[in-house]
Amino acid sequence: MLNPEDVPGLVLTGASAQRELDAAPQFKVGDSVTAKNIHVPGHNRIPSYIKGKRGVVDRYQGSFAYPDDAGKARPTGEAQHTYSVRFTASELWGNQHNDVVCISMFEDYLVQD
Amino acid sequence: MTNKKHTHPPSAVDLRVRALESLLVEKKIINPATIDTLVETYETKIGPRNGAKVVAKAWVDPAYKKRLMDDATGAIKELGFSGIQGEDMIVVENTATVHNVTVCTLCSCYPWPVLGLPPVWYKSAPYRSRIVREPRAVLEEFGVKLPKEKQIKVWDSNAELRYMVFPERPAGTENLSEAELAKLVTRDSMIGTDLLEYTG
Amino acid sequence: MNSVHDMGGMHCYGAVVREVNEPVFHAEWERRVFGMFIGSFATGMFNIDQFRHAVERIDPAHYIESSYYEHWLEGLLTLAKEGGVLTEEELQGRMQELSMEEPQC
Repeated sequence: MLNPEDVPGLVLTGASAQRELDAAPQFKVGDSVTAKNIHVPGHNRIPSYIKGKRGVVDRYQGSFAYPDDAGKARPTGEAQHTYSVRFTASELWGNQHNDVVCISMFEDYLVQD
Repeated sequence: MTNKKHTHPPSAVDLRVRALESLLVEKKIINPATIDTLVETYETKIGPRNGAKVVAKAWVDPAYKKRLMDDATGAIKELGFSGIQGEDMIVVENTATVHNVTVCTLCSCYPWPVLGLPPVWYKSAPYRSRIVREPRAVLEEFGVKLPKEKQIKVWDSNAELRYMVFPERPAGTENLSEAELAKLVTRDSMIGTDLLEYTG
Repeated sequence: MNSVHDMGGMHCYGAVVREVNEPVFHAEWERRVFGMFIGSFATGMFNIDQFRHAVERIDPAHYIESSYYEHWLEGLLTLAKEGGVLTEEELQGRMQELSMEEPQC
């Protein structure tokens, strides 16, 4: 049970979902990728508006507990590499703006073009 | 979730909450005094003043700014801010050509250690649905009008990284101290829904 | 999963409405829910993705109509029930008891 005296320490520490991972990242900055068209009834962190859309790897973001596994059971999920992937407004919404959306993607959500 | 006032005074909800708390206390999962301490922490100690200090320091200290861009989590921790919902941070810099704005379309992820708990609008359906699709229209509702040439980067924090926007330092602030600069920095400027101005 | 929580790009939710000088919490029950969330998370009752998944499974109509901390409340209740911490009957029973204690006017 969390007691009042534990609060300052807990608040300042939190619980990082970052996890060590030996395997090398599959993608590198600048790669063209497509977000998978995944529809599963369980938990995941891939929003519908980017499914099937093409983007570019903007930066590598480290390895984190994979939410699709973590959402199912008490043990946290296996680690996976994550990337910030940049999608243009024209790819997502069909408009002419120069704007972009950058979104964090687990490796399993992406395929290389 | 919609734009309705937040507390449609839900006596039913209130009763449900009290019942849950009483059961969790009875089952020794929750200590009610801990709830009070947590609430006090987020009502009085952790809020956007923290982020404002980070921004002001980075404006006046180029070496700190470099650390903030290279390792935001570490640089923010130097000022004593870290932990829950900011375990892993990224700071994105507004420039003459790029304006950044943050959202969490799937839930309401937000960098608590630097900005505190999110305002209702940030968690609301209108903001979450629209900012990725029509950022210019949403920003205009906030009074932020950007030239067409300026690119908007919307950061959807759908994984475990939390984003803070590093706003541009307003013109005319060359002679202000770090503490004075920190007072200019608004919460919304660190979300990306405000532009800072200095009127002297 | 595909549900209403996945809001990016949706139409028809209207303008973003902001509250001037918004307080951190709007009611005491929100404070209690917030504290219970952190407190039960710290005991290892669930991880963050399980919590998100519990919120995503809220009835879609209720999700849209209810406020943020109501989502947290329902998420917590779902996880407490699924984790064997309490039952719906216990909850209903306790609500009944507490409502009897309230002054009748």
